[in-house]
Amino acid sequence: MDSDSQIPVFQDEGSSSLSSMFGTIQIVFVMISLLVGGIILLGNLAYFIEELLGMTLVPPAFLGNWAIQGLLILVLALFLLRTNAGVMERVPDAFSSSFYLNLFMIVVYLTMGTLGLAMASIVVIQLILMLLPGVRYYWWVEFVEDTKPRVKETRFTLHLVRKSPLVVVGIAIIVFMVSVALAAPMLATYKGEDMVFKDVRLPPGSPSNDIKLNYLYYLNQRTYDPTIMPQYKYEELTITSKYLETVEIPRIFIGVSDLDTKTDAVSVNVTFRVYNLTQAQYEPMTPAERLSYLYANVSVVDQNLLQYITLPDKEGVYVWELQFIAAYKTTTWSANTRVVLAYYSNYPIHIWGTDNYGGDIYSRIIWASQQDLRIALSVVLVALSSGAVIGAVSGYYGGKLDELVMRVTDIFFAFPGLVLAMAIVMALGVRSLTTISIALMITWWPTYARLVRGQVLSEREKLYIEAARSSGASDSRILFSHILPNTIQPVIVQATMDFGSVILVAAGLSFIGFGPPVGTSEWGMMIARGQNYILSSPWMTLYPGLAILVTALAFNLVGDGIRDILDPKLRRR
Amino acid sequence: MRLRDFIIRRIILAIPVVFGVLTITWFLSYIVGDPLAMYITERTPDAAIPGIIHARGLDQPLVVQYFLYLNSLFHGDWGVSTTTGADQPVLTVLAAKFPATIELSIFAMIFAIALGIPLGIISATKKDKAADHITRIFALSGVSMPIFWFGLMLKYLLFFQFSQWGLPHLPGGDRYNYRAYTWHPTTGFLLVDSLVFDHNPGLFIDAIFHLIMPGFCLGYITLAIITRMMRSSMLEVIKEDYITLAKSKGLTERVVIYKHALRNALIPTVTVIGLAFGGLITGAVLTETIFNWPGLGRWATNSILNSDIAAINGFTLLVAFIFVTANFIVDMVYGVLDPRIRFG
Amino acid sequence: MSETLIRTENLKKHFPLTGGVFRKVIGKVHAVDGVNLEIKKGETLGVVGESGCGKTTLGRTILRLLDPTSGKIFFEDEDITEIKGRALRKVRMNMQIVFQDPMASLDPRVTIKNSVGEPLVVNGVARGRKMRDMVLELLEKVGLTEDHLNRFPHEFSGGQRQRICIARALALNPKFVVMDEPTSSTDVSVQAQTLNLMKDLQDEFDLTYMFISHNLSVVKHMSDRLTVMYLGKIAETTPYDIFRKPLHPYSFALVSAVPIPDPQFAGRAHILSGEVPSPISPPPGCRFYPRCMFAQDVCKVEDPPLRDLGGGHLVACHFAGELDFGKSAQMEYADSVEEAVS
Repeated sequence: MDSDSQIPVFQDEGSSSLSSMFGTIQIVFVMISLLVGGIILLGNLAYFIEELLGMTLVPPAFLGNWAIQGLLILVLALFLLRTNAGVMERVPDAFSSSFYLNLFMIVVYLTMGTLGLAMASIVVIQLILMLLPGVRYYWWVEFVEDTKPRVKETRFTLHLVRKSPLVVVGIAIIVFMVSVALAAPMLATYKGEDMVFKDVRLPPGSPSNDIKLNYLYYLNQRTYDPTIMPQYKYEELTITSKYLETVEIPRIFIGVSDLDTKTDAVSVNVTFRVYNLTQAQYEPMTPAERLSYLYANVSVVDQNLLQYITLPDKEGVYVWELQFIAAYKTTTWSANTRVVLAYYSNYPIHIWGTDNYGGDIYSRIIWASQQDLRIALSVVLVALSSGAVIGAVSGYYGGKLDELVMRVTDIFFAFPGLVLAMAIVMALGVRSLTTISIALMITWWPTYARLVRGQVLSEREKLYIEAARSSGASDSRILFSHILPNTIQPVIVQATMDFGSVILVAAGLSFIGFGPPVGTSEWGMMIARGQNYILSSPWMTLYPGLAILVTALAFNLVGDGIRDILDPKLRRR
Repeated sequence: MRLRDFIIRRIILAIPVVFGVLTITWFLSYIVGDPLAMYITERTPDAAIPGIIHARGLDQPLVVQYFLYLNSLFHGDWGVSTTTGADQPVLTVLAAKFPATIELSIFAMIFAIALGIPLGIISATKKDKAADHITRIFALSGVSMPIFWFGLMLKYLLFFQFSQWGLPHLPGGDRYNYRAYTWHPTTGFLLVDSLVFDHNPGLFIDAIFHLIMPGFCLGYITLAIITRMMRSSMLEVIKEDYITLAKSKGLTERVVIYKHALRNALIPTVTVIGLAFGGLITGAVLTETIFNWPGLGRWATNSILNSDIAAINGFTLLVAFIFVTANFIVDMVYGVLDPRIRFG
Repeated sequence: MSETLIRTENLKKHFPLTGGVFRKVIGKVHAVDGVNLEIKKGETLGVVGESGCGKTTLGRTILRLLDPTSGKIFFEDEDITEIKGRALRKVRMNMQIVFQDPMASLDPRVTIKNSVGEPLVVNGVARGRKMRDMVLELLEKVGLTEDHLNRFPHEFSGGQRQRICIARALALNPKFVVMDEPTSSTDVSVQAQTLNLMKDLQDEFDLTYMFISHNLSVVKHMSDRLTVMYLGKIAETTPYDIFRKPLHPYSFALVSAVPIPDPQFAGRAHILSGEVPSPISPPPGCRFYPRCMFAQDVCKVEDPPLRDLGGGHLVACHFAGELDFGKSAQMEYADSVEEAVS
């Protein structure tokens, strides 16, 4: 890389069939991306119009979810279209830009479920093609050369980060909180909206007073279906040690009831059998052969509608089987009958106690971390990007536009953030997490507009901007490749700290009653719920508050620390 | 630019801001519900409503309505609030609730300044030592603290647990002990009234005790902000040549810090203090709710929850006015403190 | 040699000064106030003057980095005063500038390769590998190596940075380069190196320089002709050695203020009394009269035009050639050095 000989002589087009193949595939792919992005955006637009007009157009459901991704894909694809021209001319720059764009594209696609996975794999193929020797020859050396200094700088920054303990602690906490939020289904012992009514305001560490019904099988037959009678339903049942821990006596209940009358008055015959067999053994056998392995059976006939089988209190594999027999071949039972196969187990321990509705504090805090972090992320991202664009444009072009933007931000600054957010939530009418996010986005963008504008103003006067202008660079190039990269650092610091502030304000909003509907797991709501019971059950307030404090503190630690790290005065010269 | 010109310019620039605020509140009252709601309550007889609609011009085009709204605002007619139970003009309620909030804010501010500036100085002079780290974490916790939670926890510990343990404890809410003392409001500032008009030192001391917890709770964020600002500006100043010169003259560390450095380091801090005063009013919304403080914040929260539009508008306008004024004063003070600032 | 490359006609650049409640324009700074200038192909025109006399503004206005208030600028006899967009970019490819502060004139987040290569990329001259090769060639010309290509500006010394800036200015192979106090922020040893490099490059690339500095010795060393500016106007333009033959009283004052490395001649500088008048309200008549020791009544009312006193020696003084400044210490010192040498 450091000697001339390694850099191949510039070659003419068409010298490698592989590279022209790459170019073609790239074009096809960009077209597909444009299509996908366009369709998704159109779909979202349709949803929006639908909501606005109150009518139903019913576009396919998958379109509704990925509005931001659709937009990003469209933008990326348009950029790729431009770099393609360079790729066709074998310009090394274009290859490396296309490489970065494709990497970014993969990230976007990976957030999009199955459709995204399929598209991402196409991009991966693209990247693999780029690394084949025939194509790689055109750009790899330059790519490495260009990347090296950046890597060096990044490494130096990381070195500084490692040296400041508070930042490391902050990052560790943030990573921890994010992974808790992501792994919430695994970590939480209860669902966010679970309420165990016998467990009201239990202190931390209490076992549950209630037992939980777990369903093995659940049949709600509302319509008449002749094929259901007579019929078998079977499944393998494994009793593990974990199962035995939570279930004191492994009893399996079978119950039948009438859906309409909610009584037991159903004329049915359901036989429930448990065999000492594995499913693999069970399946090839005839019913007669199976009978010799029968562990136990009960029948639910007419008025005797709740039965159970007690299984041995040790690990093992069984097959349970349900046989539906209609006593009288009428349509009535199958049309309105519920058949339930269930067992009881204890609820898990309430590590941090329960609230006044019997909600598990520990689980709710974990579920709430998802909500609060999502609010923070969405608010900061939207406020930052819109504020930065507005601030940059108004700072760079100045004049009347600048005056106007500054007066508008003045107006926003005249309101205290919380009060304005409260008013907006009220104006929007709906109490939900989305409403809070929107209200906070509206209150937050002026901060970034001001910050970026100030930075751009000071940056604009720098000599290197004039140097770039004298070398013929256009306004947009100066703004995007010189001014913005140099203004980004204070913005990053501000954004990091704002993650904490947004969490605080969002929690504050829901604390005073502007939060999501009752029952949603959200830290501020949990504190609001706890405040009336602060004297008798302080744990209801303590733990969610600690969660807020620790999370916000972590973001502030990192923000405060990287302010010093990124400070050009302190960096090596 | 001279100071006079600067002041005039700032006032002129503040006009569009005030109008923007007015417009937004009017707009919000339109979105939130019927603008008529500002002027009627449940107790208004049905027969009177058409008359009110006509009198308020609510049957006129929107533009006319907007100007009528502005007109009535300027004439001191801010609508009727129902939140306090009885139907009261908004301005009357604002005037009644304002002193409580201001008293709390000033107390919080005094507390924040009295603690924040010394802490900032200590942190800067002992940079990267244990004292600095502790102060920084203390300050960062302040800005990361959910103030409502902090208030609840303070209340739990200092009020409830202390009384459980039989220790002397602070009162858990309210401005004073209603059962033990009577207060005849004159200015609305309890501390002033109790000493000057009621001649009741017991009430005064009781009021001080009632102020401690909400004041600390409200002031903590400001304290944190002041500490951080003081630390960073002190660090900047200490690096300056004239400090090195003062040190090389043989002055003691104490004299250098307090006589030479502090004065210059205070300039940015003063700005922050001014701006933070506006922030205190926001904080008061949460603090007052927790400590049952009969001020503007609690009233605003209740009125928003009750959809009492006139009250919300009134509160928002008042707070916006305080914000604009605070910014204005800060700019003035900045100019006076720092002779280098040209009003440009 | 005699072909004119740059010519200005009564060039003016005024900066508006705002004030009052409504930020009205209450005055203007006469940074450049009616400058007629000619720069010939291949020569170096030195521009000297005190700080704030408008020499930097003049340089930038000629390059159209600032829009002139009035007057005309010609580049190769083409009027470039009003051109915009593509035409301007095309002209700018031929005119480049090297700034005073090399640290500030390099984007701290862009590697040297991309900084120097930027003119090539934005003007569509070269991209990618070709750009790299061209940049490398330029860097080698100014004495840097391939190792330096992918480094950031903060990794270089002041002199190196200045050379990088020179390389960037030369990237488009311009005809005309404005050197705006290129050596004022480097120390003396580096300064000499840089100046010699500039001379070498001038020969190699057939460049025309406008060399702006407040340091008379440096300008004299570099220039073929020398222009003295005072308060936005040209006081004197001379093709001769200004140390030997200053004709404007201001030039004489400048010359006599140059420090001499010999205590025998020191302490005889002709120090000007008073401050430079404010460029916001320059004195009527001759701009120099409030400080001029030879000022007459006529100077207060009449602005002296630039007169040719023969051989292209232009002076803006009513009494040019008639004044006797006596022999400056600098001149005596130069003579003594010459004597000693012979």
